Amino acid sequence: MDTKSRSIKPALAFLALFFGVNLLILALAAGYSAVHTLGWRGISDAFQSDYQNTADFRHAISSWFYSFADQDWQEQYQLSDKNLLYKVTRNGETVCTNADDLSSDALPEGYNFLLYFDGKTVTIQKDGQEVDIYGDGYYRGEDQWNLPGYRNMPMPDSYAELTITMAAAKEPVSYTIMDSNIFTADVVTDSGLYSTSDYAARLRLPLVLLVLAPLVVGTVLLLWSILWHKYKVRADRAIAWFTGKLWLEVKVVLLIPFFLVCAAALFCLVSLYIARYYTIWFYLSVPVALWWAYFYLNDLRYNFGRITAYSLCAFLARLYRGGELSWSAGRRMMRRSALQFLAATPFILGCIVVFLVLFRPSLYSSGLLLILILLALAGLFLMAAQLWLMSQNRRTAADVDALLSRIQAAGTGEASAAPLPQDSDLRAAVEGLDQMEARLRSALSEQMKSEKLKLELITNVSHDLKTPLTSMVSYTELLRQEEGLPDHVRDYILVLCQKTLRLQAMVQDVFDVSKAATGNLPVTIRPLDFAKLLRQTLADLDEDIQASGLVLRAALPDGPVWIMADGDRLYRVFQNLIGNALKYSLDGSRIYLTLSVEGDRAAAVLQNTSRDELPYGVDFTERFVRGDQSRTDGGSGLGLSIARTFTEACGGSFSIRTQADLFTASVTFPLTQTRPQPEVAP
Amino acid sequence: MNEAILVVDDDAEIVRAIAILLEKEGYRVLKAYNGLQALELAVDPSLRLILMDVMMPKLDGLSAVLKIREQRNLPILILSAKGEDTDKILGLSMGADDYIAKPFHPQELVARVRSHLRRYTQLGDVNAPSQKAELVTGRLCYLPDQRTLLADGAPVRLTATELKIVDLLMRNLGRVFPAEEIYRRVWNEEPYSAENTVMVHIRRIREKIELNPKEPEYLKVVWGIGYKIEKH
Repeated sequence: MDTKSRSIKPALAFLALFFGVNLLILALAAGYSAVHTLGWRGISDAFQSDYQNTADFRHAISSWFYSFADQDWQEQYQLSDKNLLYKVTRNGETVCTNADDLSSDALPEGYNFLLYFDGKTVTIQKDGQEVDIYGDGYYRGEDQWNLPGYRNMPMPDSYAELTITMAAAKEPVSYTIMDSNIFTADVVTDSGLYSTSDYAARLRLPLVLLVLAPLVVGTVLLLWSILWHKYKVRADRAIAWFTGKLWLEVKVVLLIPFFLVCAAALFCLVSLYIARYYTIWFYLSVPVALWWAYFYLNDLRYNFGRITAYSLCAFLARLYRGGELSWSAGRRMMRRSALQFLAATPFILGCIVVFLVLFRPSLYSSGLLLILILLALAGLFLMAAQLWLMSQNRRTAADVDALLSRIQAAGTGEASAAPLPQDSDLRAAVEGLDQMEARLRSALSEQMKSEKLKLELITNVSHDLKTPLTSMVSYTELLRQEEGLPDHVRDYILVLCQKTLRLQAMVQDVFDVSKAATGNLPVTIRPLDFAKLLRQTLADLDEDIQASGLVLRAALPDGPVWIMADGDRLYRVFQNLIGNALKYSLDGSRIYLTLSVEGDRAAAVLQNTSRDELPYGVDFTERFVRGDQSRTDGGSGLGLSIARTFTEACGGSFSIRTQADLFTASVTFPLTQTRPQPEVAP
Repeated sequence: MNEAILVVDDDAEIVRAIAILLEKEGYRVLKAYNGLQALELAVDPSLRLILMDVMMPKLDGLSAVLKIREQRNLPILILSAKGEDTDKILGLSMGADDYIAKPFHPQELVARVRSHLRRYTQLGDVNAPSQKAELVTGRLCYLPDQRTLLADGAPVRLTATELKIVDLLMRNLGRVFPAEEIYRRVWNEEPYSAENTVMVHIRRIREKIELNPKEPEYLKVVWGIGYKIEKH
């Protein structure tokens, strides 16, 4: 579904409902009025194609019948309209007529309706057919021919001498007043039949437009909106979204006109019963009230939980709070106290009014006077109290600001400001803060001292170890240079030489690891080519590798792999790793060194097969941990520890993995875009 | 020989051992056990070199070096158990000529003493201006015209390839050359297994010119970049 139909369909569904309901209301109202005013008969007459079948026609013919039978009319008036022809005779003598040759036997051209009264009964022929006038002989209202001869409507005696012949035109034509008759006021000229036929035709259009068409179209639209219920619901939600934006206060105020409109609508409905009619605008109150109610109910239905969220009060509260947040705590308190003062102003004004009343003696009795005076005094007192409160608040506000600035100063490590006065509200807090700060400072200096001590200890211990070691190295060297010693003594001296050298290496290792562990290892981080570093290391250790009888298979990329590291430290890392591998690998096995780039990291992985079984669950990078626990071979047990600490000091990551006898060490570094500065030859 | 060397250390055994080693080499050794004694003995006119410990009672080594430098212009070598770079820099800035970390190897100590004495006696004043045709860095001196490398004034015997490498690096003191470039310029060939080949030669040259080949001072590897001869 595209976005266009998404917005159009709900709108259409809602419009269908809107117009459907409105049209149905229109149809109902118009239909009701039509039925009420015209009656069902009148409505069905309006749709008669033949005007002679309408009640109006029967009524007109009946009236004319009585007129013609009336002696006064016979003598004074004459009907010059040719839509209705008549001839009245008394005792065979023509009394009045507008068509002398009219007879009951033959109708003139263009006339199809004939009424003939023979003094006793009335007979009517329409298109040559006899029309049943009397039915069962009783007259019951306007539906029937209002003519004498019914059993409940006896024939007047004077009618016995009369014969009346009336002929009505099939298609009445509009009657034009003759010039000569304009001034003859006593002559009735118009039979009214044309307007009777025209009335039915004129009634038809409004009935169709106001009742039938709205009824049909409204029903269709309503059905459509019911079919599109889900879109209509969406439209409801959309409308609720809009009405939800309206402040609650506005909605509440709008309830007043709403109730007025509702009352008007109710009045309209009642008026239909009591048959009093008002202007069209008054009747509009019904749909208006209905739709107004719809908006309220729709809003309640979808926004019930958030009714108070969108209100002027909430908006002002948010505005106030939002502004308040940007002020210092002190200013906020000041603001609050100002509001407090403002809140008291109505009361103060009340007091002023009371004072004014005091000068209008007619308004009070003596008891009231006392109360008013007391009230006024209380008002004065409260005003003073408010002022006092405000000054107090102002002081607290200043204290709060001072406290906050102290906290800020403590945070940035600046010197503390002057202490607050003894009676300040916040003195305790400030003192607490000072203590906290002092404790923090002492803790910090303790920590720095202990760090310094640690480093000093390492330096001192290493110095204390190195001094005797110097003597040992020197004297074993002197011993070694001694000539003429027996072979077994020479052997002893050789052992001494080796062990002093190892001791020397161990001391250096311990020193390095300790420095790295305390974060005192100086490193010079520069961009370098990891692949080249490994190639150089391999070349450097080539003799050792050859001597070990092991095979080292290196898979290094041809191109440069740039990383940021300290070359000397990283060399130590791989010197240790490769040295380890040479020392502990199974005789004749292979050592694999690979460097690969994955994503933005370069990983160097060294794998070798251990000669001895690797203990399970041992962290080999822990200080002094080795594969075998006997510690009789060379090495300080710090090789991997140094490798790890040095790698981490350079910004890389180091990990050891063992799987069965396979020992895997990996050193990874993030790649860098930095390149070394070319060193210019002097 | 009359060349006297002053050995100062609060550890008497170390002083004795050093004395024995140096006397074997034919030097006369003066012994002191603190800074004040060192100051007293430093006035000896036959004195050619001083070995000075740092941490000593009464007057520490660095202060003693400062005082002696006011009067004498002779090589002073610091012996210290503090092996930190910062300590080294401090010692050298106080006027010492060299810094030997404890525990030192006796042979290295002797080699260093010999090196400094030879330079001192041959070049005379350490601050004497060098000739233009020479390329000097510390105890190394390269004469491009004769294609000769002098270490402590004595010619070093180098093979043709080694000499080419030294020639390249000495003419560009302090500049780092990748192995491939060295290979290309020395062998005039496209590099093949450059790293190993160059490293082998570098190691051999080091054994000829460095006092302690395991901790080279001049011919250095710049890990991950290449090789260079340090400018001192």
